Amino acid sequence: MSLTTEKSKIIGTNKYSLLQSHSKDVTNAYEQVFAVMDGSLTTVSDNDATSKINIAMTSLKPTAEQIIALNEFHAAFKYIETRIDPLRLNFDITKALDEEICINRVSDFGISKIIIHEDGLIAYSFIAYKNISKEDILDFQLDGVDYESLTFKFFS
Amino acid sequence: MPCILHYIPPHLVKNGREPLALFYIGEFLYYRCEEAVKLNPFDSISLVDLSNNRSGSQANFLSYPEDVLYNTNPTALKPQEKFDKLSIVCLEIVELENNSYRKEFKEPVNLPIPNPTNIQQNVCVINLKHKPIECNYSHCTFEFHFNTIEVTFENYKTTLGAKANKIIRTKCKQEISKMIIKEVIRVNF
Repeated sequence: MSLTTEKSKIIGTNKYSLLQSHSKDVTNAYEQVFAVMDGSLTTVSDNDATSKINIAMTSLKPTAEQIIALNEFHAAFKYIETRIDPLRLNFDITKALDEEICINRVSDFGISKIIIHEDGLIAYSFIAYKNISKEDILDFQLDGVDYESLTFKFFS
Repeated sequence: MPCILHYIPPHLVKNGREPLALFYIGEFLYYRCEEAVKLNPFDSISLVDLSNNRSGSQANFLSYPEDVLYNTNPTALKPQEKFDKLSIVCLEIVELENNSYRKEFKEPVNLPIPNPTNIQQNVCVINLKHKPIECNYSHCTFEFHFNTIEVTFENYKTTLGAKANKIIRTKCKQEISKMIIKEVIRVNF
């Protein structure tokens, strides 16, 4: 199977929804990653969190503070990867208009978001869909960040 | 100057009508955006002059949802009559105060040296206003005022968009995101 065909299959699946990012550099970065992966989808799949965070690091131009936070989340995501249903590990990473790096997860209940501001301040947001009776959350991590707890909350 | 765009339907043309000060429960606002914005509004939402069309009430119809796709300001870069590829978000107004939408956020001023006695606060107010234009009487906007200054594209980086104001800005983005994701407008979510 040619790489082109592989790519056309990949686009549009949830696992690779990073490709649908608003960030213009992301698609190019993904293509570069695929180009050096010998077309092996298994490798990408096995290292999903790692791949997505690496691509975010190279394509979204994070600040030094954002890089530190992404590395911390990378470790937390790797830890949680072995402890929860892999289907729950679906997320993408984007850059917002005001330079925030956002880790996004869509579930049946609503949209969860970890917002990493330029200076490293982290906020956790959850917005429930219209007919879901769950409380909306906007929680700024002003007194230090427990990355593992936040990660569990994000994937719960 | 009257509306000279031939493709604008007659009900949208202002024709000297004055703005309506009040909004109504059950009225809809129509917002056009990329489909992806519906799923993730936080990333691309603008906190400057967020434009919508209002539906009006049963007694005073103003616009259909698809009217929001008309291009009322064609330029060389965007000459098309309609933004056919964009999506429409229908926001139902479910809660107002005195037939108005006004939401206020406060946050202590972020001083270079922390001071526990600091009582200075930044205030951001979101207001929904009916602001008809010649080719679109139903046009309305969410206006943002930061410490009484209206936020514009020109002053954004020194007001709501400043790094020091990230918390209050994020609260505003969360509020607008809730509207789009839940497809409702209420003063107290």
